[in-house]
Amino acid sequence: MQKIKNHAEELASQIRDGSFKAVDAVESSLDKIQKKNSALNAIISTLNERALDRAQQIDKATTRNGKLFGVPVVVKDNFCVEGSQTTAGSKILKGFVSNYSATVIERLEAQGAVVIAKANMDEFAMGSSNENSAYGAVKNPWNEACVPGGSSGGSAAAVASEMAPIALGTDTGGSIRLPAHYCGVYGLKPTYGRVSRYGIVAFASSLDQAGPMARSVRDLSLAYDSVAGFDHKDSTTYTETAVDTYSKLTSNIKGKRIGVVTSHIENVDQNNKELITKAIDTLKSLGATVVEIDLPYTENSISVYYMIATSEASSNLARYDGIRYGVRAEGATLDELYENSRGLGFGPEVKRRIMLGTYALSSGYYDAYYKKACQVRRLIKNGFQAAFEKCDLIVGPVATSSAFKLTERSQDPLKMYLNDIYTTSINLAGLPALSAPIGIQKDGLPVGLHLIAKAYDEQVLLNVALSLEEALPGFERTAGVRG
Amino acid sequence: MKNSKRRILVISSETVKHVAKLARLKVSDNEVNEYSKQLSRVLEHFESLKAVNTEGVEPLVTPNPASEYRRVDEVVPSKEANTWISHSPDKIGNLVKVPTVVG
Repeated sequence: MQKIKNHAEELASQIRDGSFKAVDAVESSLDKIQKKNSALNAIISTLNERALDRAQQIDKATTRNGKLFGVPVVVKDNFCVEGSQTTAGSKILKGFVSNYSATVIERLEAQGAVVIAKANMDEFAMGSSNENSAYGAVKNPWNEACVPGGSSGGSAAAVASEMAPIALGTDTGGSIRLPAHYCGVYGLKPTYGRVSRYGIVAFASSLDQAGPMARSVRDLSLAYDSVAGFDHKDSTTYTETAVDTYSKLTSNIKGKRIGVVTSHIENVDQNNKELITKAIDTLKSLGATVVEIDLPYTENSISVYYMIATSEASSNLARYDGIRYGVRAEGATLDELYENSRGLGFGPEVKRRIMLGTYALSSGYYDAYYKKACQVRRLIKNGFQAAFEKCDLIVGPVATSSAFKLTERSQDPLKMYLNDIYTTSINLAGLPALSAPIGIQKDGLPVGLHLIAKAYDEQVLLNVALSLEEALPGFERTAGVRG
Repeated sequence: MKNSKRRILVISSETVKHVAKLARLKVSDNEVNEYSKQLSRVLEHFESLKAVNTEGVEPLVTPNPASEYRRVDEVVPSKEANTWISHSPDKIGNLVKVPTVVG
């Protein structure tokens, strides 16, 4: 068997022209999962038979023009893939087999991609460290004593450890960007409405957005173009049908105005700060100008986010009642059956968030909590709008540090929530944002740079990320690829 | 916020039990104590929002305007009923079994 190519772009091109076989690519990826997953726990289930069948069809196909032709892809286990188990990292969905595929899965497959596995995740995408999965914590491929970030931690670890060149994740408050930062891969959270949510397990519907993770900007762009665009099954999707960032990719960023909030960079740990400052200097040397901006409500965004996200979640998760699907516990009455099934099936963090959201929406508290949060949400959005009058994009930290140790923060929910300070406001405002790896700090853990743009301007994020990818020294990717 | 008067909000065990009932969640006594402490702490943090002046600010419930698209009102075939019923943990034929609702 030939050695599998590192990147989707190259691999798809070789499978299209017949010099590499999709079956070999899929087998090689499944083999890597088998070798590495016992250490990383990045994967909940593999789709061997389905994937190999599809790969065989691709090798025989007469039309050979998909963007991701024959490329193995890992998807977070909250995407429905027809005929496969979807757990959302929860015990309550154990044994649930989807009878249809999410729109983004259909789109990936229409471009020739082969879904090979479902990635581990925080239960119902609720978490920043991937320690809240009913299937156990995921380990960071760079240092197995550390968290990979959450909630798309399995997807990030799978890409970082080269199980597949591309993975899909979802981002409700940072769940693509945090693990991308911690695992040293690219992660794109598209504009709210860019990517269909049909067939994705809902967490907080006004915040959820699916997006790709990859080891190069060109792969990220290919994957994003494959899944983005209007879907009549999701009325929040933007009406533009075709999205083509790949053909417009350029690393020429001359004249781009880059907004920076200096206090955000001052707040992060020294090692991260040095790399972020170096990346900003690199952007300047490439012809960008840096302007100081102000985002006045950043400190409030965590409170606003957790109020809105838990309120929406308490409503979305009402559907898990033990009646139509999932785990059912005994109960003498219907209410008892609901209570017992939900008590048994949901993990502690999910229960905590349902409780918080139910409290916020309950009689007498709605105006004080939910409504107040929605008002500050508008101020947050207005703050970004004012900032974007001065700049084309904003750069800053994704989190205050690199990956932290497993269990270090898991006993203190508030401390864990505070970790999301730089990511949640982007979801509240519905903006696109990207985490781009910019280096490895002294303790051997990767650091990402957070790039934020105006709604629907994913192109500028990809272009600036490409300019950094070309200008900064590449990673010596020794971690996570052992064996 | 620094200058606002901070009211210590304690979510009592009774409140936790009431909310658990509303959320149809069975919680153990241990969980009641734990949630009481943890939710109080989270809500205390939320108190900082009181310092933000939101007078006259229209609440924002969804970040970007939805598309104007409206689906054509026509019947389209769906999967067989049994495809959906097959997910249910307890069923008889095409019917989902539940405890007695009306006695």
